[in-house]
Amino acid sequence: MSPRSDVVENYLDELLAGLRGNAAAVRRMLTETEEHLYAAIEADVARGMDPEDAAQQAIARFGAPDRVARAWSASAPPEPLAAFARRVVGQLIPLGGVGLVAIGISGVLARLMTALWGRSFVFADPPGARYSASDCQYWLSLRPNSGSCANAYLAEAVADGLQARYVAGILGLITLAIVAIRRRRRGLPVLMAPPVLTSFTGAALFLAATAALIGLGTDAMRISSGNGAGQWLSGAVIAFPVAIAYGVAFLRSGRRAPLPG
Amino acid sequence: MRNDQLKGHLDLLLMQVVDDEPAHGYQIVCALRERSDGMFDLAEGTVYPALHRLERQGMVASDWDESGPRRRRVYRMTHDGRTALRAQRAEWTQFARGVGGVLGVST
Repeated sequence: MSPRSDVVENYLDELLAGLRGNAAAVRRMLTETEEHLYAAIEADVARGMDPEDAAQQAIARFGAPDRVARAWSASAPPEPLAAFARRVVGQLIPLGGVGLVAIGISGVLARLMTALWGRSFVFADPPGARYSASDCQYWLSLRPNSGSCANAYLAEAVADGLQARYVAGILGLITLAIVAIRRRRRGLPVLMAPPVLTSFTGAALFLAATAALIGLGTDAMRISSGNGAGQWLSGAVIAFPVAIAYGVAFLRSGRRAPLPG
Repeated sequence: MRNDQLKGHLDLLLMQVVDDEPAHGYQIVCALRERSDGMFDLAEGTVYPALHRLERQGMVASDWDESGPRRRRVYRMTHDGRTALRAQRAEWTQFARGVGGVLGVST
């Protein structure tokens, strides 16, 4: 009997992450996969191959985990609606966490833009904006040393805007930490390539967000003399690389060949 | 052989191998590779979902073999599977004869 191979164990972990449906059927698939891989390794080692090379070759011949998982999904009986809904939500939660963290990072960038180009560039309303007397009274009560209603408003807008983004970022980190803990408890790798649904949704959403934020930022530059452009552009600068990362993950998962069977 | 070419025939090939002798997954894959002279170089892991589907359809049955160092699922043909295999073999033979006739090669 072959000694345990880390390569095989990691492969089984990745395969398990992609298999869904009836628990007994998943367990059987994993047991058969494990037996198959160790039988293949034993056969190659008996022919004189190095055990590590034999393990690599065995998993290469077996097929990429997501490819095998997709063959499994294609041939598996229909998934119950409740289980399907749970799986979809489970796959989208990490995406939500990444989105919140991205908002948090955009807050840091907005803070940097404020320091570089002034508060008006990031959070101010268009020139000539009028505020009601009660609003002015409220802002001046919070910022008595600001000197004018517009300045008091701007100071409040900067504080509130940055704070909201930082809170979003912290919530995102908490979400991702919970996802990591759950994966660890289930014996899965903490860092895994996102499934196709997550990577496609992530790429589409972040790309759409990038386009919308650039549009709003450009409008602010054109119509409002740049006032408030930074609040949109700081988001676009963060959303774009996230969209690219999800897009690459999606293309990688989609490039694999269709399956027999 | 390309996967899409193999796709339509995988069930027939799997059932034929299992019909010849009850076998576990690794043996089935080895038999496919050897008998096809390496032509059916498919991702081995995709054989299991196909075997499970055939089992759900009642074409094959399986049991755990606990006699070795590791548990193995051994597949065997069912009566329905043999009937289906005969029909699929006849269909394939007729198809191959037709293609061979058009191409002018013996099959």
